[in-house]
Amino acid sequence: MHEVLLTLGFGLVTAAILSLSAVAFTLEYAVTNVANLSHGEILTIGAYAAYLVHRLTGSALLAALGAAVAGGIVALAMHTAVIDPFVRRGFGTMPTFIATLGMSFVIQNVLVIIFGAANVAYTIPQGAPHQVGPFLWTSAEEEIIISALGITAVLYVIITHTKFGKALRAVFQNRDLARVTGINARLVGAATWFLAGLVAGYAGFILAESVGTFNPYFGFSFFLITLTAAVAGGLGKPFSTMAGALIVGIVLEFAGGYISASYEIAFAFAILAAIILVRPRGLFTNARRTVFE
Amino acid sequence: MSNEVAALSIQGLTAGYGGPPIIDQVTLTARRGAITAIVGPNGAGKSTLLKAVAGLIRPTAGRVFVEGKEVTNQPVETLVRRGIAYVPQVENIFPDLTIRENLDMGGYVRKSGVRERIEQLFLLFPDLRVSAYRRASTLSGGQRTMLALARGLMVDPAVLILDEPSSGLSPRFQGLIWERIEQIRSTNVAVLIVEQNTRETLRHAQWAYVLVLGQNRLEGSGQDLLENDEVVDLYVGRLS
Amino acid sequence: MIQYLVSILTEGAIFGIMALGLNVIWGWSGDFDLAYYGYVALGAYMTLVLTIGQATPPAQYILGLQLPYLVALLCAVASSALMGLIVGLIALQHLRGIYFSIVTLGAVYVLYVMAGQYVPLFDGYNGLSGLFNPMGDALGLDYQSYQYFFLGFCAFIFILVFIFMAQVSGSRFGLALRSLREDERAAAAFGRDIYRLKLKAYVLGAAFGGLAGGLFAAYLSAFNPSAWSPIEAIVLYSAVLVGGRGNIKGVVLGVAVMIVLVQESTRFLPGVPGYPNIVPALREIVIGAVLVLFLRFRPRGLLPERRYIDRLPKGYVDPGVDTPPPRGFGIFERRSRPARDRDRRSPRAFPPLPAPGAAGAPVHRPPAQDRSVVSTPGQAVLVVEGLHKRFGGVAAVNGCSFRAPKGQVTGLIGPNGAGKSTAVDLISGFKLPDAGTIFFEGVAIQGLPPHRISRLGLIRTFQTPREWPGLTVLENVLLARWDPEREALWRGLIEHGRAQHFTSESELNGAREILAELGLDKLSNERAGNLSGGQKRLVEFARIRMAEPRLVILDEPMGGVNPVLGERIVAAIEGFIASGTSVIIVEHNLPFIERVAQHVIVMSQGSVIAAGPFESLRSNQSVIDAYLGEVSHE
Repeated sequence: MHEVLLTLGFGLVTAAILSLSAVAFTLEYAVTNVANLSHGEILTIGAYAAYLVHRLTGSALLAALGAAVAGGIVALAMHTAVIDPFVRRGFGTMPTFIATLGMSFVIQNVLVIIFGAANVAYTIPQGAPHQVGPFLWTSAEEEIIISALGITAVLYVIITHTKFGKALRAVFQNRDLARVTGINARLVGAATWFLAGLVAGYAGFILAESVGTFNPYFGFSFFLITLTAAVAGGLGKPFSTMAGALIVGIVLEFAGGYISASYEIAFAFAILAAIILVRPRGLFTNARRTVFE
Repeated sequence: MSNEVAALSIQGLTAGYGGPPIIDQVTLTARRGAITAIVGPNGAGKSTLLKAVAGLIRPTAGRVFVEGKEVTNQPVETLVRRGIAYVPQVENIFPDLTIRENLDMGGYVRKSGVRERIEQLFLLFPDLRVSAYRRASTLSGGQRTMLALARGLMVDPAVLILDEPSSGLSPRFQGLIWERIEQIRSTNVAVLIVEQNTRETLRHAQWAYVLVLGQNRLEGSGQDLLENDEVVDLYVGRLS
Repeated sequence: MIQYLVSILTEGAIFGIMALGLNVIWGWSGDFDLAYYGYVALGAYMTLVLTIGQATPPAQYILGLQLPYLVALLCAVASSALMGLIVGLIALQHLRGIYFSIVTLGAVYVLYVMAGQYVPLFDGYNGLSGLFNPMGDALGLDYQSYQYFFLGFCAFIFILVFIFMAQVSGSRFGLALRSLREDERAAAAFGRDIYRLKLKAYVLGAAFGGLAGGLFAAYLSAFNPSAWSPIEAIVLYSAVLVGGRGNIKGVVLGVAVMIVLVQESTRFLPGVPGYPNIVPALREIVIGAVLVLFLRFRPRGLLPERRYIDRLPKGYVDPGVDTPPPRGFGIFERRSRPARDRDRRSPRAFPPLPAPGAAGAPVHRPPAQDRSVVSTPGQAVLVVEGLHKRFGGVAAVNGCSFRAPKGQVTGLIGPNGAGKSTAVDLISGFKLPDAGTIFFEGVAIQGLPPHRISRLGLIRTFQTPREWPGLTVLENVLLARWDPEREALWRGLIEHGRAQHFTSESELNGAREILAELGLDKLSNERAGNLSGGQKRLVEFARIRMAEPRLVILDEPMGGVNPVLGERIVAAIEGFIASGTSVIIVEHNLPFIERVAQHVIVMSQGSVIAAGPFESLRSNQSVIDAYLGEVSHE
């Protein structure tokens, strides 16, 4: 039982990071109807930005902020340079999807040029593990979970109670109609991507902290797990995505006990495939999925 | 009607989707308190005209005035604030929002008075009040059209643009829709409407424009056009 | 220099085969398959484990035989095809679009991880090596001449593959495949088994991937996960996109362009000492950028997929490449029809159509049948009993029962939400009923998939015209007839001549006649997607005429139709009856129904509330309440 709780505790840490990354991804999807294959690169950039800031200032807090801001800027740039031109011209999901693949490629290699392909590590003290109820966490891990909860709460308020949140939901359901009611879909899109970038950049920082080392490709491999969580929750639905991330994060952690960590991603994909085949609209929506219905 | 300034005035509007223009030098006027209809054969560009006026398509030439103020080339998001409300033919509601939320969204640009306006519209569309908390996707076709109309009216527009509101509706609902449109007209809104059922449309329209191949061909009062042989044979037909 | 050329050309041939295989799945079937490179890798691995002999510890891998290279190559093809079958069975059943892509991405990632992590398979990250100069020893070639030989070998195989693809491209199989890409529902409505066809294409593509992989392994003499890098895959996809999806010449051009780009784009950049990664990274950036730029500015590629241009009788002038079709009245100009001139009015005031030549080939039609001859009363072409269908908590169809008499036009009317469209979906197989039976000419069809029902002779249209937009009007009409013999893949490989490929002379003439009758012959080489809404409706009618079903269900054919086109539709429907096709029409346009339908069924709230001749309904109170309201027409 103790083992189970411990694993559960680690699973919660993974789930926290995963939920932030997945929510950011699903927000990007919601507002522009694009599955952003270069989403992982936002995390990577966040991790590198935090690294630079920490090297400069020695402050973990500033590093976290730096990660968020860098992520926001990158996401905004992605939206302005590639996503929005495609969406505005009515290009459809597939071409834009493939374009994000190209973008991912470009960004990874830019990072290789700047930082080299070698692994990099933070020198941020993690604190010793200590008991928190039935779980065993370092103070860094505690911070991760608390900050994830906090950010989630803030996002919740933004999405459900602000005018911006309403506009976001309208654009998700019917972009043209939203424009016709006076919502500037383009601006809403840009703002949402910036917001998603903030969250994703920070997620990259805490992920790198938690894993220990990172390199230009680390965001992409985590992205595949993010994708699983996002699809499990249902693309475009922020709150069920968080629930999906929780489930996936915990399942992976448990599975990781039985399967070597290097198979983790493959396992995640197996879950993903299973979910898509059985419940493509997410675990929480009962939708038949024939090609015609 | 003794309005000095027309609610909507279009001069020489030309627009398309890239390639040759679908509408070419179109001119029309719509007045408050009147139903102005656009009729004509398929491919005449009627829907395109509405979209160009609503700002969804950028015109390549021509000018658009709302209550005397020029709004040419402004994007659809700002046109709403200038008094133009557009109700598309399809996908004209937010399916996952309730009726009330749909109307709420319709009032997005309103500075105040959203609640009151919703109440007013419930008086005009009593069916909507009954189902106010139902998801829009569960509504029948006729109810959806009512909701779409109401959503458009949330901004108290000067001009209400309707793109084939009764398409796909049963004759009974078509009758109901026309009743509502009449009521809307009587609240001093300028209604600009394109409809398939030409005969019915001309019967209700104070003024109508016949559009052929994207250009003005004829205009006149609805009644006059109904009695015009050429119009009847070519555009009204015996099957409507 | 020569060495360089030889190796580039060899690479080009191998990648060309890969790209042609990918084109089958992505270009013709229309699925963005991210697993494709996995089939290449599998082909390479399998070739190696079958030729390099026993593993010497500490290396470990499966099999480890020493078969002749050609045999190993064939086995590689088979294993990739098998892998493709497995992935395709899972992914193609219900997935399209990004979900399909994501699942295939998952599949290839799993393969990649397995190959690298699970050492007993292919020796993990070390990979396999040792395939030197296969076949060279047998031929006694030295190193130099072997390079030429291998180039010749690869080029030879490439040419064979290219010819294969050219045959498939012009075959009816290829045409049917492309129709799936254009509109699956319509393809199913005209008898195509979507799943089976896509699966065939997928396995075919995978097999060619395996072939290329086997050649690749010989070229590299080794294979390991680092040879399986994303860059290779991205180059491959970019080649297909840049060159032109769906066009085999384009795809080959794309490969040439990408290879040159990869090799040459960074040639003149100085390496930066101490940073060995920069030049390769720059190269990859260029490729990624090219991909994005082409998607944005030239998504159809350098050589877009070509239309099939039909040569019509002399005097015909093709309007030109992809011009907008003639608009307005011109297309509805009438021709006098010898046998059955039942036009009630002549058109007035049409602007004259610029006549490009002959007024059209003479129309050969069977003599008109007297419309008043109706089959024995009581004989029903369709019998529906107790049909039920729920969506969520709502019963869309609730105990619906009716009979449609044979050889007549039956109207199906009713308010919105009455369940008419759902009933049509249930009858035609696009949705599964929860309960009830459907008998079509005495055969139970409930539960059958749409393509089976279509093959039995029941064809339906959709509320919005569902043409195959990327195919020409003529191709649209030709495909209406499901031809199982001609649509077999092997058939496509052996036929000669473009027209003979996907049709026969008599079928082609029949299609041309039908198009001429409906006034569409001048548009026969236009892509159907360029047509106006009214013209698309006419194409639908042309397709139905071509298919000669025993029952056609028209779903709101008068939607968005002006009076002139309406007359054409009435005439077309009368033509159906005359040629023995029964008709069911779902419509709201009551004067139209009154005019054409002998029998009318009224649905409301999921079940039938009245049935009979139209006049009898006018006085039926429940019908008036539910539907007619105040009838204000004359």
